[in-house]
Amino acid sequence: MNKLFFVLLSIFLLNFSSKANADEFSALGKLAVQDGGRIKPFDTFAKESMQLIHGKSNLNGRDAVEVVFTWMLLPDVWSKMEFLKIDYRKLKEDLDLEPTKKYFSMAEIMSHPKLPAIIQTMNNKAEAKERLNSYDQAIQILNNQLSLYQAISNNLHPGWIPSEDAENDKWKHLAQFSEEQAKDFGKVTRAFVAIIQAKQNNLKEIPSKALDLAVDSFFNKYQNVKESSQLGIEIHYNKLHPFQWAWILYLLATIFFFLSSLLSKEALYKTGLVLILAAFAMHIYGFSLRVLLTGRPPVSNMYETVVWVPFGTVLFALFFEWKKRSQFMLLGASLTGAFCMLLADFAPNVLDPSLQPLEPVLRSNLWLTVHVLTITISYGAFFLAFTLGDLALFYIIKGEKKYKDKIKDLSGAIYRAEKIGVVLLAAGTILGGVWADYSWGRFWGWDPKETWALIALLGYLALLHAKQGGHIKQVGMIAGSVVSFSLVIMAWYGVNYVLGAGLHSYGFGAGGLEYVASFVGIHIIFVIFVLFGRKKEG
Amino acid sequence: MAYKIFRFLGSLKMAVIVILAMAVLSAIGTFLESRYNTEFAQVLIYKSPWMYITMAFFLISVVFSAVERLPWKRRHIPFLVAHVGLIMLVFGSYITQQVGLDGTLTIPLDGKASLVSITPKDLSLYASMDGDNFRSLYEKEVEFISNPPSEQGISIPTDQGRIEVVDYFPFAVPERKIIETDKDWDRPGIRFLLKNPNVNFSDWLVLDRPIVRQDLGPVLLIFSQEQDEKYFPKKNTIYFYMEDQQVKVKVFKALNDRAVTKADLNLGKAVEMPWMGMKLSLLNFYPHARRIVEYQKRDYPSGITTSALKVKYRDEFHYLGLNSILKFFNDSTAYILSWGNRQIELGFPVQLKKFEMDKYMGTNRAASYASTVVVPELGEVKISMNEPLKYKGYTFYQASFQQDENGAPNASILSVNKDPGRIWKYLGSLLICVGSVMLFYMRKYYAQKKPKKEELSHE
Repeated sequence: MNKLFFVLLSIFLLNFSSKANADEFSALGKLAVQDGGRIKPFDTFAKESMQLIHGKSNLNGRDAVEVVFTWMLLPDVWSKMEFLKIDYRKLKEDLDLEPTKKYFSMAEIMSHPKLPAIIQTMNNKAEAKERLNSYDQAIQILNNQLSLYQAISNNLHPGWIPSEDAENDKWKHLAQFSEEQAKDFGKVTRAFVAIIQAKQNNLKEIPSKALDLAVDSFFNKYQNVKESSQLGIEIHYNKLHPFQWAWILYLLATIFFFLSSLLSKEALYKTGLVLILAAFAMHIYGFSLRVLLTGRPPVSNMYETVVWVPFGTVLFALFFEWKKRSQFMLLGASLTGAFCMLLADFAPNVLDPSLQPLEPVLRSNLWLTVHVLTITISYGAFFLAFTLGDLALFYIIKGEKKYKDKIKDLSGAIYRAEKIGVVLLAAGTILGGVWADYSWGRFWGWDPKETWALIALLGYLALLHAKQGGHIKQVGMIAGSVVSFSLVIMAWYGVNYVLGAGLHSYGFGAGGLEYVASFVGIHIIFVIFVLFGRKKEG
Repeated sequence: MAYKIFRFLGSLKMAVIVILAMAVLSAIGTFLESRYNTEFAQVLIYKSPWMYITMAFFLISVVFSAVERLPWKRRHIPFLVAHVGLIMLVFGSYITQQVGLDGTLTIPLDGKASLVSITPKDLSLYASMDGDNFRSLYEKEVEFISNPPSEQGISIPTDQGRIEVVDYFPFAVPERKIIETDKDWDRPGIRFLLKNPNVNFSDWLVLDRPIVRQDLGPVLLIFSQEQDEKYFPKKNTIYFYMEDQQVKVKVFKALNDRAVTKADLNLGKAVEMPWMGMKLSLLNFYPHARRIVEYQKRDYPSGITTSALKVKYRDEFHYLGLNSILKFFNDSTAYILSWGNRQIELGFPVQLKKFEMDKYMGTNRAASYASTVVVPELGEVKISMNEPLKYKGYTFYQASFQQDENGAPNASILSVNKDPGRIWKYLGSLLICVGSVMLFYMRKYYAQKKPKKEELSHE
């Protein structure tokens, strides 16, 4: 490549007003790279890298593939651009950065005199295996951001070509390329730069075909191995973004079901039904793709369970609705579906959507799969009861007598959801014991994850026993369905993100605590408010 | 009155109270585990009297609620199935806890092991007059988390004074030190400094054995009780020795048994070495030195903490880390105090032939690991995650492994288990699941007073 390319490229990079059409570079995404213990398309790698470093998968409308590829070509230009996202306020203060600023340049942070000491302190803590608080975790993230960017811009990561040495399963990065390999990779680079030039000169014809050909020939010559056979599916999964479609459709369904509950028009209900079925289909299609790509059930991290649980919700709701029509069952289901899928889509820093290889204890085991699927799908039933409980509380405020029928309908739906939840949670908790017994000879070990599943089960059992004994009535049952769900949230999210201990330590993460705590807190206050407000009325 | 109590014990109100009590206790346990560690939660909650009392009330509640429904009718079947299942599950857990075995077996690579380490900890004292034959003076199961030494008052008599356990640190960090004493049984210790413009190295050598060696790579350090006239240096050697309370040093070049330098070593005076302008000097000399480990108490556990005891013997304080020993001497006797997990003899050796670890491609992350072990009769067997070995009533599971400083595995940790309560737990679980499905979904079917056929025949 000659110097002119770089000059042109630099001009282009700095020219933020010209928004590129992502498709022109999309061929690059088809290249295979080795990263994080698996082979993935460059498309995924670029998106994940941008997500980590910039907090979004595009930069001012420019696609991740293009941005990350130019990190390798023009690290000097990029180092001066402000796109490194630092969120944690205390960390910004400690680095004497402007607390209100969001993005910083790599050069500024990497050469910061205070940074090495801050990172060292965190590393010492991590090495002593002390618990890291949110500040330490923020430093860890920053450290990961810097080292990833450095590795990419120094051509040391990711791996592009399988090693000639059969013993070594680490792919070669750019700096290790032979002359011939470097020449072939140069063809890809040149085709990429040619597109940029064409755009720069406002040419009508963008030579994207050439890039396509260069990528294909590089892929066929070096990367066409067994592990990269599913890249096409993964790119399709990235492009289609089925879970986004799912929440859009669930949200629309929610609106129609809501209107139908107000206006009792059959047409509205029918439209809602079509929408929820379409959303459900997209939902299933999405995680079918994930299962196909990872070769395992889609419940091994927080993100996947946030996608899986509403599947249970909608499944049960559709089943109940089919058995006996209710005014609210599908409204509750679509609302839950939209809520969870939105959450999964908009909190990538807390809920990591990337496809990760599994920890050793989790690998291929029938009992493991069955118990996790059973427990998490029971959460789906409880989530349904929770959402319906919220709706019922809403009608109780509006007037218990006036909406007597609606409340009765809702409480019947809640009871149905809770029954199936209790059966599945009991079975799942026991199956967890079977798995533990089978895997390490301990049926019950008071591991926090299993203990909280048990506590949630006990909570709902107390509720059902109290109902049976007449200690609580319809309203108590409704309030109980909302309050008890806090236990499910603790078992589902809290154990991993708050307690952070135990054998189930694979799914641990950080973040979002303040939102989840407020979510739980607001609901409990809401319940208290309704119960007391109601007494005064009576 | 008695009838009222009877009614209450079997009532749904009682059931709700017991269920909530179990939930609250368990929740407290998980928080304790998160803040401290598993052992804390086990001792203070899960295996505490509180839990046992709650479980007792739980059983009473279940049994009484069943008794109260006497005479049982057809509609009671689902209820009975589920609740009998609960009783069986609790019974099975009780059996496991009473007679089951749950421990770990650590086998070094290319080595054997037959001792399984289990949770209970023992404190034992052994004494020896000659240093070879030890006899046991004291042995007791101790649990210090709920029952700290200040309350237990552990004090073991010896022929000269008592050994007292004065404090227990659940989380502590070891700190190694050398101290000077006035006891004849403590041998000399020296701290030297090797220095040239590029190197600055100092360390302690304590004569707790007749000859102490420390290999620094380019040079070997020896500290000997007395001079060995016939010493032949295979490599460059600095040879320290004692003569009439004086530290002396001889310096050898490799493969040459004629000392290059020979000198008295006194504090503050440097001796020239024949390598790279290196100078040797003596920083400390204790005629009686002792290596000790002191433990610093911490509030919370971390990766480097362990638990430790503070022990008092003859007005001196000593520290004893978990699963280690402490030696005491007096004029006539040597004592060994040990504190650690109880070891159970399997009755047969388990030999570790091979330990394999698969990694995810291009990373250092473990994908799976497996041990190939040899046991009598069966020969070589591979134990991997989720594929245990069943042998002589025990089940061996691949639990974990140990690494050396370079991160290479050097021992495999198996979890060893014997569970006679298993069948009860499985049967109970099955009944609970079947029973709850019947309760929720077949209530109508069981609620009919009699099967339809009979009803028809009545008409």
